Amino acid sequence: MAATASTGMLTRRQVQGKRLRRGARRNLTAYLFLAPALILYLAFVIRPTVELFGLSAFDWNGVNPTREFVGFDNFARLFADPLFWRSLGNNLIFVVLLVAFNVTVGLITASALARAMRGRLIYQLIFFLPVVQASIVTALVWKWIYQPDGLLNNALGAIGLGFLSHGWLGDPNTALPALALAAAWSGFGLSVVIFLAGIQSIDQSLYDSAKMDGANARQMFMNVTVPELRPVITVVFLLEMIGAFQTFDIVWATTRGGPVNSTEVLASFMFKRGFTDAEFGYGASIAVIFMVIVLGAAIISLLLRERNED
Amino acid sequence: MKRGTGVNSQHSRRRRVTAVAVVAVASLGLVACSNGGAGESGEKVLNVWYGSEPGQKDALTSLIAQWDEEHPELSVEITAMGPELNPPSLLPALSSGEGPDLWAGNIGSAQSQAFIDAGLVHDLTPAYCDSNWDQTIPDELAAIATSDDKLWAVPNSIESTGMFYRKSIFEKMGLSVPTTWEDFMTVVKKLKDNGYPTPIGAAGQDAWPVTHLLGAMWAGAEGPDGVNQLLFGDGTWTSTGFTEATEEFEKLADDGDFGPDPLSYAYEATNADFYNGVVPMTYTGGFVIPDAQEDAGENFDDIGVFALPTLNGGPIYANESPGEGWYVNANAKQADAAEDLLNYLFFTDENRTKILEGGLVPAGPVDLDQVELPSVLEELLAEQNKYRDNGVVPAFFEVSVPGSIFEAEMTGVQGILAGSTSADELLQTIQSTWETEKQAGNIISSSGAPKC
Repeated sequence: MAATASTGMLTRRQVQGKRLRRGARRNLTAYLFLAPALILYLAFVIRPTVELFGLSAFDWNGVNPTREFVGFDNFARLFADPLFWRSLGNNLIFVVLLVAFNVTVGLITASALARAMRGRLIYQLIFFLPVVQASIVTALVWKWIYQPDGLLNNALGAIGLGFLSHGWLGDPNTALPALALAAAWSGFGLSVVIFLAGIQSIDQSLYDSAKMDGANARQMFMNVTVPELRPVITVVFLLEMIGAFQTFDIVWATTRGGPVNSTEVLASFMFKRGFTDAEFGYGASIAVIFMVIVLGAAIISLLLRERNED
Repeated sequence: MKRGTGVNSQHSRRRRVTAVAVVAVASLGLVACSNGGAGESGEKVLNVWYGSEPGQKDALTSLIAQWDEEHPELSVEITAMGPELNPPSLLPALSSGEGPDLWAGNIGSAQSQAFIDAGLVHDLTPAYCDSNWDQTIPDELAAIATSDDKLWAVPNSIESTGMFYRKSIFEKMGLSVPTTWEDFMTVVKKLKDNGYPTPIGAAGQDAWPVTHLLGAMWAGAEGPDGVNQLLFGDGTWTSTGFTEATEEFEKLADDGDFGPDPLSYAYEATNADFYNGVVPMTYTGGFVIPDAQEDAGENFDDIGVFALPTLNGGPIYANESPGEGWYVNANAKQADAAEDLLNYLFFTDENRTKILEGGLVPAGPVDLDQVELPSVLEELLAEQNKYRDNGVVPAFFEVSVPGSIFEAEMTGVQGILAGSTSADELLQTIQSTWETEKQAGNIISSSGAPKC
């Protein structure tokens, strides 16, 4: 049925056109508001990432106006470098220790806090204080704690465990776990706070039902809290994993990757090659592989989680 | 239809919101594209970066402040770089065309050479010749800062190293300063057997301090000719002298002469134990003296120093290396002022004396009779003068080798202290790295001091 302007009725096409134009105007407004953040993201994240990939194909000392194209030579050199594999291995150990501690102990602590009737806020503040502390301060404090005559050895001696006293950062076998503990201490509070928020959003009726069925605290934790918190656990796991991979400050301020490369991680390895040795192209290749590894780990975690939910 | 309701009003509101968004984006773009206006007040500023701590009061800082007062036409801004001689921030600052007008950095490192190769460093040869700096800087020190017959830096903080010891402990033990390696080992054993489980403080956690001891053992075993043959000729790190010295170092570690846990002690902790008399000896250099004056307190005057005897009974050599070089930015807006400041600091007798009294040794001769030196610095310089006729070797190798070599040395030394690396493995690793760097053209070749 044709419509005419004189009657004021619109054809279907005209109505669709109007809807599209209205939608486009709404979208335009939305994109304009998104634009500042998008511009910053493109300028400070995407562009440097693209440049990084490009730089990894060059031999460049960081200041020379000319760069020599070497193709994949930097990557070939990297994969043949035993220190790269050592750093990667150290990083993986660090990630496992840090994530295991912060996720499990963080969850258990948050669960206990959720049941606390008094002082919850105080405990939250105490746990969260290390999170807001500068990482360099954390590193220096723990460097002092781990000294042969430091707080830890003195405390062990005071409780009759002096035989356990050790040069924690001087022993290649204990230096990495010691740093992992220090890093866990500084990030543990964030896990607790996130888990606590998640627990507080769980429907109380689920706990009531479980209680009526005779479940004890442990059973309620395993059968109600953990399943209900699965999405939160995934988020915390990812945050902790990515943070652990990016560890640099605590290593650089304490051991600089020593003793004997036992605490060398990818970030410190990359920093030394790039800045100390003035090998920016090689350092960029390390950064590219680093990014691929972290991204891959994050994607695998998400896929596994989705598969579990299915 | 009431005003403010209905479709027309909604359209109007949406248009206003869109307009606001457009203005916001445009503003962001203008801000991003602007050159900024901070600091463009027209005032001339001389930016100086050097290895100090914020608020540090030392001879150099005081002299720079004096020069600043005498030059009201510009103002000096000092950026404290901390203890790092090649801070990571320097590279992006210089490569972006900004950075300091004048900075103190390492001589001989890959980073410093990269700056020179990239044309970021001002050629100081005209100043060297025209201002008679060549009359002050010894040729062998100028040579370290020279490539392509151009002087790129003014060497400063000439460091010497030695075995620093606590005189009162030696006196208590009835020990005298050893002049042979056998005597030295006798001293070490007696200290260890009499209540000093760490006869030699090693600071293994930081690694670099104990590389100075190993470097001294290398230099003593090879002598000036052997060291020069390695650094500038076709010598190898696996030669007899290097091998014997490293094996002896390994023996010191295996025998526990660095204490039961050398890798757990950092530089500051080792020095603190030395000042407190827990550790009777530590191998270190003149660079420790300014801090020691404050940190050792009343024990400062109890600190003595002796030259490390050589392994093979050969002559003891003087040792010297420039702790830093002062560079001028090729893009410096105040290059003339920077050169004038360098002249003021390092080439006037009065100020050279003040720097020396502050515990740092400027390059070239200083009239010691006019100077009241810290006692241990006097002893250190006296030891160098005593053995200078035998020849001069580097105080530390890291100023003459690429960073990768020094990194391999530090890792290897920690491995020896941990018992996981042998002397042979350390030297093989260094030699292999050296060959790689040579092939890449990263071994610095000296063309000697510039010819005026």
